[in-house]
Amino acid sequence: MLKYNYFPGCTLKTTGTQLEETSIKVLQQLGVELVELPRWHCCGTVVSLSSDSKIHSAGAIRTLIRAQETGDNKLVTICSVCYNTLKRVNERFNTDEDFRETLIKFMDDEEPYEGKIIVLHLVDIIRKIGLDNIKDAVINPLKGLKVACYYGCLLLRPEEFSIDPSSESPRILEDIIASVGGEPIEFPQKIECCGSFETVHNPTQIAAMGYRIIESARKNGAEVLTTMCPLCYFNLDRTQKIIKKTNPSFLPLPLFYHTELMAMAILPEEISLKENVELNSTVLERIYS
Amino acid sequence: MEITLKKTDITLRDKILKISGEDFNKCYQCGMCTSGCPVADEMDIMPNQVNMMLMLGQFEELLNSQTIWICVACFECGARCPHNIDLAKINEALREIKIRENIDLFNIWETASTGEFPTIALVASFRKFTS
Ligand code: SF4
Ligand code: SF4
Repeated sequence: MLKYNYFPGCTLKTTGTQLEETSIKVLQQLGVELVELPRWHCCGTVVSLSSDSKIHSAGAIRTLIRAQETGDNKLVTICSVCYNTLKRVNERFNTDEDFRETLIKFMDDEEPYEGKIIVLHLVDIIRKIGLDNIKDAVINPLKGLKVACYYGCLLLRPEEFSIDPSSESPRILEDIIASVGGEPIEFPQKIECCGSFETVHNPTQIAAMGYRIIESARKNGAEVLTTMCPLCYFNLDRTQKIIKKTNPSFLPLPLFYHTELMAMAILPEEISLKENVELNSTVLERIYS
Repeated sequence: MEITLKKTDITLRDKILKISGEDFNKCYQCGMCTSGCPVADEMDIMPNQVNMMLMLGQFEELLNSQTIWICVACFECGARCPHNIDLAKINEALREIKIRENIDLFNIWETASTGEFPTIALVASFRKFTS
């Protein structure tokens, strides 16, 4: 079995456990094992955008050192924030001499980071496995379920760190959904921000942003919405709960991680979709019928 | 129209240029950034106006605006800007100038206890809104 070092990050161990569980199981079924780094810490979350700030990147560099210690040069991430941060900090380490030297000096308790780790996203592994192989592994296709594929920001922007060759008009998520028997639909809000960290102190802003995304998906014929990001998932879910409270006639749009949809198609027996069952029962009935 | 130039603190301008690493003087006010910004409705100063005000030296007005805290760093403005100006970095620089004066936008401990949040959102909030 093909093995990759894997960095989960904090959120996949807290609010994003379904994303982690289904990602690992789906990949296993497709012949890839994700091996969690033996020791890891927070990546620092959002990448520091100030040119004079270095300390905020220490968490990311330490994580890359942990990966370096394993002797392998690849590190897979699933969380979009971890992906974006590790990838950008890694790039800065390799291109900004002052940044590199300061961080190496600051972390003189560690073996210096050599800058050679390649940060990958789950999608890169899925691409490597090949969509045709995924198609072959499907035993319970999604029966033409109309899926709105929502990307959010940090997997696509800035462009040089995008998981898709087109950061303005990505296709990879649609291709994944089609490979497991779903019917991806297009909608204009698919690369718009969900509100991100503003969720902590500004739920109204989150609800306004989420509503636009959900309604745009629905208007374009979506039966369900899918996302790859644990923060987008949280915010879209939260949006629906907030709106439902103030407007009981609001009909939530079922929400799944892409790996949950893949799991339904590839290993339908093994996956428990407990948290989703109530909201998503009609969709589940249809897929499992 | 008459434009009166106020005396402005040039060190502040240099600080913003240095922290952000972005040259707002390249902006030609096409408005592409604002048209792509998903939170422009909530802002008191539009993203393109941030650059205009920087060029005019209205730093204090910007430092006291809501806009700098509302920007979610989604990078859409930078993706659309014909001059590749990354306004997310400029907004971060303005926020940083405030935060480095030991100013917290809100009490994060109190706010965080209002619900269960993803760790990334909590840590990001600490980073973006507190000193
Ligand atoms: S898109 Fe760029 S050039 Fe146009 S107004 Fe915005 S910052 Fe200025
Ligand atoms: S980075 Fe900030 S200013 Fe730019 S589009 Fe996003 S929210 Fe608006």
